[in-house]
Amino acid sequence: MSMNEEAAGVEGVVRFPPKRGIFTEFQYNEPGTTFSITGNPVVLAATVVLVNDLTDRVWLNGTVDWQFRFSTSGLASVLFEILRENTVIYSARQTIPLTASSFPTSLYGHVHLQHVDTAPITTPGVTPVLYTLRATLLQGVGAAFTQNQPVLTAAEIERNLL
Amino acid sequence: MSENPKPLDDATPQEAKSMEVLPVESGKFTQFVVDEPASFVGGIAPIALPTPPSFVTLATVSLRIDDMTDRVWLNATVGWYVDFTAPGTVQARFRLLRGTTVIYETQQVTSSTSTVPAPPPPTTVHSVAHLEHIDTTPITTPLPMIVTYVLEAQADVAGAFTGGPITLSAAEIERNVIA
Repeated sequence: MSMNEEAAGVEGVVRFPPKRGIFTEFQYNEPGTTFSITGNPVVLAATVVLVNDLTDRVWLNGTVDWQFRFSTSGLASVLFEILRENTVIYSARQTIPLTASSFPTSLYGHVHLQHVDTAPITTPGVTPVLYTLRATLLQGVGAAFTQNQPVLTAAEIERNLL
Repeated sequence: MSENPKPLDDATPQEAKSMEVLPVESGKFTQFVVDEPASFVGGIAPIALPTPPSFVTLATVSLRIDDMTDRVWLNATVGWYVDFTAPGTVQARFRLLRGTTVIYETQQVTSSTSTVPAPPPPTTVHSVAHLEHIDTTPITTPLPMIVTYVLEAQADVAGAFTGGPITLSAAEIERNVIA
């Protein structure tokens, strides 16, 4: 039923369309692997969403726990990115400042990413769209690792009815 | 429960009973809006987080809410940073408002280590804050209303900025069929 048909109520009285769930697909990746984060981007999680409408949005959420094993004083800084296929569509950066004075010492970070991809496809039709969460160590003398399981979720959300 | 339950005629008495009691499941997530003024680190010119009592508005979303039983699921993420020129700590405060009413608030601290001298250029420490809140009373009268949510920030001392990312999303969720 089209939106217009839904909007035309009995006896031609225009009323608001009945509400309908618009959260229509959910994908996730939560690999049970420990990743080393280095100066070269490393993929932590990846998932594919089947998008069919040009008006669909994809709501992406990512969570990463990571640790840095400091071998000397300083800061550790990691760039987290979300990609659609090969295009970076979101980034966030987190720094762990060293608060200890003995080495080596490990400190922990927890980061949450949120992005809404409002243009997942540019031509109509069912299209698998790959989303990737990756991390790059930008600063720090020591070793960075993920802790627990990184998570990337992707939800296809239809356009709002109104 | 299946989306297409077995016809009642074909069900065992036990199944029929459960079907009479349990309605068919349907989507409850009925509206979704987002304001994302910056999607990248450094995606926008730096916005200073003002010191108390001031706040800066980072993002705003509006939904049309029609049921008093609707819930609004709010999620916000903010990348922010401090350029430390000396050891110290800075605490940022983030809050969500419905209209002008504060409905959620959180704080996040960042620091520069005392074991690192502060050479020029300054030591930049990046943080990411995540806020999540369910507004269970978005409207208090049974009339449809446009409800606006605002994400604001401040810091206890000068020197904190956001250059992105900034994301504020809001989802309208209908009441559960079975409480």
